[in-house]
Amino acid sequence: MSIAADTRTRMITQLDEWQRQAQGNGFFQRVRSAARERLEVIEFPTIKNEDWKYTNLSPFFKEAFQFPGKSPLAKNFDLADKPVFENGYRLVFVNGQYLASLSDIPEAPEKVLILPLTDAVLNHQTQVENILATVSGKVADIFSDLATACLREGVFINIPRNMQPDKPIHIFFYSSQSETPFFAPVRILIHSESGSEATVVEHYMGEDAAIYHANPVTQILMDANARLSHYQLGFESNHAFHISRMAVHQRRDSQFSGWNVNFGGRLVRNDIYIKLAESGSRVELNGLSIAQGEQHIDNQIFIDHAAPRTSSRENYRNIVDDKGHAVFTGRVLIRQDSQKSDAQQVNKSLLLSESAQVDTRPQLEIFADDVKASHGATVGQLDDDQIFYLRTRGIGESDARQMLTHAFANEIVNAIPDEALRNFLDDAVQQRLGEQKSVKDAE
Amino acid sequence: MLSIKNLQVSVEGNPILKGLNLEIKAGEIHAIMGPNGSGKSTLSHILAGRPGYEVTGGEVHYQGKNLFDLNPEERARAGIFLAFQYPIEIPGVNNTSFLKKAVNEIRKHHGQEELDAVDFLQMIKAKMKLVGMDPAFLRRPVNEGFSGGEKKRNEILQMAVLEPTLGILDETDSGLDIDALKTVAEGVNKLRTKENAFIVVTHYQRLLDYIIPDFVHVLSGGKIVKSGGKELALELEEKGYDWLPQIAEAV
Repeated sequence: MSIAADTRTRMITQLDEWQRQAQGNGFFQRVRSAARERLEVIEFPTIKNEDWKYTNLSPFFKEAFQFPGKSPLAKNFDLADKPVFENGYRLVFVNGQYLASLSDIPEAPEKVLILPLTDAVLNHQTQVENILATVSGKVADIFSDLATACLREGVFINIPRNMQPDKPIHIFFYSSQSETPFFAPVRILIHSESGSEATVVEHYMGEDAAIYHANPVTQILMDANARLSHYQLGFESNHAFHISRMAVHQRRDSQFSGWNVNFGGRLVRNDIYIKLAESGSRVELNGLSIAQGEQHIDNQIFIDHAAPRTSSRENYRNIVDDKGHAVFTGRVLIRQDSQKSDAQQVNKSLLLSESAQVDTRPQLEIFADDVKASHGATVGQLDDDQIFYLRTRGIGESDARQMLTHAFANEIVNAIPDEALRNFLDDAVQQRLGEQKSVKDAE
Repeated sequence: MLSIKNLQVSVEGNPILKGLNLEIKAGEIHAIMGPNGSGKSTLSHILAGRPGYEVTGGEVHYQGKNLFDLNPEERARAGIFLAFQYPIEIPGVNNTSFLKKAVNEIRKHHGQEELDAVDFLQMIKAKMKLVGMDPAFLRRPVNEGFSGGEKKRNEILQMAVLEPTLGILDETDSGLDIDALKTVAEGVNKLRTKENAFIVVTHYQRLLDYIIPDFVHVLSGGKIVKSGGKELALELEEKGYDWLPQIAEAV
């Protein structure tokens, strides 16, 4: 048997054992069983699969990740030294488990609901079910089914009609070093009701040497005229596997702004599926990935223009150094009846070393005749004239390179509307690029 | 301050400078004129340390040191400043952080304390007034979307901020209207002291109406073929370059 098949058998055995012991109400049991059944017929993808052509899962198969429940909670876990945001509601997860003691969520249950999933299924089961049933990603995806088969940990957010929470909602997922590598599936469910407006931040962070498999699945339902700013900030450990799934279902005139930042992780794969289901819905997706060392970061985006007058904007940037590898696949489907739609896609990559690698694939499928669609991909290096110009002003060569690399990232970061988040990310970029520079200067 | 002896430079195997000699002392302004393709820009670039040029002979000493031992940033820190003919646009880097970094690198080199944001802003606003620049430019990315005149002003602003010992103006007058030209010239004149020197590379005499040179040199075929006082520039304007016997020979 192949290593992929071995891994699948091992995970399913562990899953069955986990399901036998797992607590949970009837709803959880039902959802888990259905996913478990689907797993019977799904294999792990290989590079022969077109969607996985540039991402080889071999390193993932070499680790035996323990299922949730067996991973020990971090002892004496303290938020004090973590870069959590002060001004927001907060939900804290450590090694995939919710920590109520460190979380700070509103108490008024008749307004905005921000709850751990385990609480939400007790009193708001219909609403949870509604999101699960309406917002679907790709069918037959082993990573989302694995996560669903052990559904328990996660977040449920409901922004009622015309409401605007007074603060952003921060979900902080921290993974610490443990004796055995662990599997951390988490679920983020968001329902933005009509006319509401909110900001949600998924913030992933891992201890330096921690090995784990973070498997978040995000499902977002947006009703008419709703607005949502959504951030996925990936600061995973450099040894972590981060395989995320996100699906957004957009109703009439809703507007989704997504920011996807990937700085950490050994192997990162984000699949994003946006369904512009009703007319006038708009999506804007921004991405920034920095792949250094032997990091592999793969973003796979599928935007489905399924209604007239829908619009999408994608602006993804990669900075790739050392033996890093970045992959971008941007599929845009404009269906026959989606007239007057507008799709723009830009992917720019900066290569900083000889052995850095980038694969970028725009895939436009357009079946309507009255639409605007464009895509552009560039792959380049730092500009010698710009480096020289900075040096003639007294700035050293490695500083000049760092400034220009930072500038490349800034074109994404500077567009972040929230000032606190913008400053946070600006510092994070500086730090990430600076760390690399100090390594190189020392060599 | 600067001593160039028999300098020979090639680009991709083609000789451009063929034995150039020039002596510059503190307090002096030297104008370098000459027809297109005479090697004027090559001279500016090689003094600033641009990669891609091969020195095949001769030597250049700056403040007693072999210039070719210094990389571009070391030359800048030692007081050499090149105002570019075509200033480079740098999207994503704002003028403030760029200038602050440059100033502080040079201050560090001289053992001075780095300027903090407040002191820097105070200093930079005064300098902007000097060169007639709107403070709004501080927030914009370096040279991006600047008009030709704005770019040149930005070069002079940088020069005013970095206070070089040897300022090299590479065709700073090209593409400037007369008002911008006057502002640029005023900027240079205000920066002029007994301790510093300027090389003004220009194709036209008109800049020299406002920046009065002590010496005028004609560069042709990779050599200085004639040197004189400021009146030489006027003569060149009137007669062109063809009357110079050496040029006739070179052609």
